[in-house]
Amino acid sequence: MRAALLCLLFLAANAADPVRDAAELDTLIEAQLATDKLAPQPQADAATLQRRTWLDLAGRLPTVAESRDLTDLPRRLVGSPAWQHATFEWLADLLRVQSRLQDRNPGALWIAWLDAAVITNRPWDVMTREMLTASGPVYAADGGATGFVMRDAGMPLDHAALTAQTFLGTRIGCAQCHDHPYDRWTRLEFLQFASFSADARTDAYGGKNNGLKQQLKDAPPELRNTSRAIATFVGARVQPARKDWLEIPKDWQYEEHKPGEHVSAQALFHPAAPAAAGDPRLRLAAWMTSQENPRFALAIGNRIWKRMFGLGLVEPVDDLRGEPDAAVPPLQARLARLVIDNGFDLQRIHRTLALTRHYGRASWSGALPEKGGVAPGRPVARIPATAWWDSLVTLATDEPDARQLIDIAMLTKVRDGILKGGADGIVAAAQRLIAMRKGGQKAAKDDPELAAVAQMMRPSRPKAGKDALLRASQLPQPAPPGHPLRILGQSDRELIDNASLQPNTSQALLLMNGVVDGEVLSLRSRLMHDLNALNDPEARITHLWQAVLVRRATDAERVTARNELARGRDGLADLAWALLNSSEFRLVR
Amino acid sequence: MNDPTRRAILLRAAGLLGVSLLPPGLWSADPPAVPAAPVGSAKSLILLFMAGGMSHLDTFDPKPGREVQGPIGAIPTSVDGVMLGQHLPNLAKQMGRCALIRSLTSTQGAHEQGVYYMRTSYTMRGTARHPAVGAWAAQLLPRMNPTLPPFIAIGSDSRHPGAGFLPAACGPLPIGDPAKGLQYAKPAKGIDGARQDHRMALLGDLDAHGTAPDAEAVRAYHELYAEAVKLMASQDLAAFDLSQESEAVRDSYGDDAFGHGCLLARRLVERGVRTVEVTLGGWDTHDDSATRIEDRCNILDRGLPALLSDLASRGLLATTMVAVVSEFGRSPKMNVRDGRDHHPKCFSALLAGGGIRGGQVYGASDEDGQAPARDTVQVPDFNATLAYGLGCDRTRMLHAPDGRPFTMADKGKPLVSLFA
Repeated sequence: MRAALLCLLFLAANAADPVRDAAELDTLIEAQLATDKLAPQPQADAATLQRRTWLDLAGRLPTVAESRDLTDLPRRLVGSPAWQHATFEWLADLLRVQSRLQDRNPGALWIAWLDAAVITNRPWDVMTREMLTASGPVYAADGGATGFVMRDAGMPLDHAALTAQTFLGTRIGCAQCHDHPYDRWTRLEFLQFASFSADARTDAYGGKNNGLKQQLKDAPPELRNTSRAIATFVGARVQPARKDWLEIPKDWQYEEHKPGEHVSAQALFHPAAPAAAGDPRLRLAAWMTSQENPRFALAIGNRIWKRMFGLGLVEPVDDLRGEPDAAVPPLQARLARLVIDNGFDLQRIHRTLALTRHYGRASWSGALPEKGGVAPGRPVARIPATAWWDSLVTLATDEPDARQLIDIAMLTKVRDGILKGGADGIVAAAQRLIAMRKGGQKAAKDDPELAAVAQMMRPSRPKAGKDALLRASQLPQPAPPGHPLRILGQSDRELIDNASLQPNTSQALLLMNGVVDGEVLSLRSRLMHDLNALNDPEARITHLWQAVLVRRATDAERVTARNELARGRDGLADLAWALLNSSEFRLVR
Repeated sequence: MNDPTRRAILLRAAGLLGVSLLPPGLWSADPPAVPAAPVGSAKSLILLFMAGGMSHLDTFDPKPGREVQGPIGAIPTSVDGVMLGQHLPNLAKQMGRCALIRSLTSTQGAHEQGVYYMRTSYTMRGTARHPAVGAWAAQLLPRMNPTLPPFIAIGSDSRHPGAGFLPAACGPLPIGDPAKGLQYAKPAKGIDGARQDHRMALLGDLDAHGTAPDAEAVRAYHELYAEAVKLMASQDLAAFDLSQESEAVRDSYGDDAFGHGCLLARRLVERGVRTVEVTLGGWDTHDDSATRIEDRCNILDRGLPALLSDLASRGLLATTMVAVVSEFGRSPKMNVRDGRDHHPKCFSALLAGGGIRGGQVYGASDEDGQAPARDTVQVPDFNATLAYGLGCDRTRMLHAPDGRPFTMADKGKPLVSLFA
């Protein structure tokens, strides 16, 4: 059995060859451009490509030291700690990861699950199966994936629509109430699809009938809220689905079937979901991630394509339409095969796309096809919010990729301790927690276990204070309203892919008056420290341009820069300010 | 001026604004004769957006005595025969100022699409982005305050359609936390006016010699930096400082983000901001809706009535239109989790001020609030009513970069009878 498995793994790994695959993609890309009567852009210069690759794969600019090595970037960056931060945020926007889930449930375990999945490069089909079938206590070592279910607690039909949008890149939400007006989905098909997962329930108190909620009503008033907050998540669990059918609703408007009739779970399209007993979500997950599913591989492939080329083969990336079984254009088919051949290994797929000739083309500021496709070069666009913030963090701090992991073992141990005591245990924990909050750090030191409870109540990582100069992935998910990240357009995680590239005046104010002077030009920042350590004005100019724009200064820029540096410390600060506010700094191209 | 020159200037101007004013191929066509658009009496619009889908049965369109009504009852208002949900007692006292629309209908039943449709009057499509109502107003109407932005959005979500294809400066200035006001409006410590000017000149110099291409993403920020500089120098920055209000006034609005937002909205329209949007989220009440809706109503029922009274006492209500709307309503039939699901087919909105005749109800839903029973109002009709109130030219066509023409409120018909 094990030998067979190893053999399969070996075959899967061998089916894909990044260099050959990249060349094949290039052939198809150039054929597509020729069909569209577009001439491909020439190759970008090394500095432009270096900056682009860092922003795409590492989610931030390189430090000056990092920027000295231009070799083999796709291989070095994909999978690096910097990549892990960027990929966490990319997936968190797709999956709507929030530090606070419904009913005051902290999302810490979900965040920890996504951390682990990204760090260990868990294949996308495995991640998908874990999320789709998650059940059991939330606060357990393997409970993190329940976050995907908890995220839509109480909304089984929306959950089904969001599941299709997330994993199949297909919008079936319209068919929740009536046959889809622009696509092929009927209301019946929607109900059949939703029947797989609709019965999975979230229980905030560990089960509706265990009396905990009732008992806590008798808690002293000053402890009641905190007790409830603790109770909602120590007991939180996702109950597996048992039934695999839904009732036809009263407002049914079609001839076939009548209100009250049952419809059973059925896959949206070929292949059919395997018949089996048990939690119907297992069938859903097996169908969803099957290599025969024509949409699953294409959906994630198209998202990666957008991340790497700035434009999806299909746009919007989650609006794949028509008959899923119908033939797709050769480039889309090849992309889906690439995803499958690579065993849904996100790192390998990114690396392959980065190795294409097309990835290295000069930028393009002409029109783009509305429904997606191939542009002659990288579309010029504003830098995404997280890459913008993370680049500022890189300039300001010594270890931009510093990371704090959530201690799952500690959290689950504390949970078990509280649960053993029942309602009394919860009230007692609430009492101590309130006392500790008043007592501050010292009290926490005296009672490490309680400090752990406090940590458990916290929705995010240990040191994710709102003023922390940490990469976006290390801050609360999402950062609170008004945080620079949100001003720059970070997703609020209410909807799938909700980050925004829209420019607004608040962003200009932030860059002019806020984060640049406050953090990047502070004397404690890495940038200013390094600049002040250089005595030669020419060396300072070289360093500044390399750090902020990742290129050499032109002769004309050097003239301007020398004049500024002659003004001393203020001149240096003003020069750095101007580069950080420049059009060039704000672009990916 | 000969034609080619005029065209060249227009083209250049259009390019600078990032919007083409005329469709390609129509440069020399005479503009069509358009009837003058009716002019409303509102100068400003405060749009209170109830995000998530506000239950019409539990707020503006109760069905007392019907099985669908559920645990939240109905209460009478100061207007005979008009009832509201039981958790809106303060608003009920001010019904004489308000008009209810109970026959709104939308074609969009998912949040993202529903919010987008309500804000822009167009359904989401492809990569095109349509302007929000406030952006249209900013483009079509003259600016009343030269330094404050014409459109400000308080507490809104991260994907506001904003300026759409219009110039970036038409898009909303976002305010994340109204209690904190406008952040970063003052230069950093130690940066005086001369230094600021020097920095801007240096930036202009470097940008002019830089290698950034001529792209929309570049032009938009040039426009916005100019806006930011104006705003920093504004005499009206104090508008963003809620601490300048008396404690009594602040208390009346409620000590929550929505209350703060409403108070900030009043301070902004007072200074000539054209459109202020304030979002109150949390209306997506799929389960245990009685508890959740009571909680939302308590917030709405402080901020909104306080805003109406405050505007009235300052003589601003006649020129300020206040609108309360959501992306859709909620299903009359309660689900098994004591909640209500999405229901775009029928929902309600409220209008007050800005020439609206109070104490009236427009349209009606059927006996269970399932569907409009008469005077159906489509989403574009609602937005056309806002446009009418503000006196925007709804016939004016503006073109997206690809040449397609669009109008404010997409040919919706304003509910003229609502106006006094």
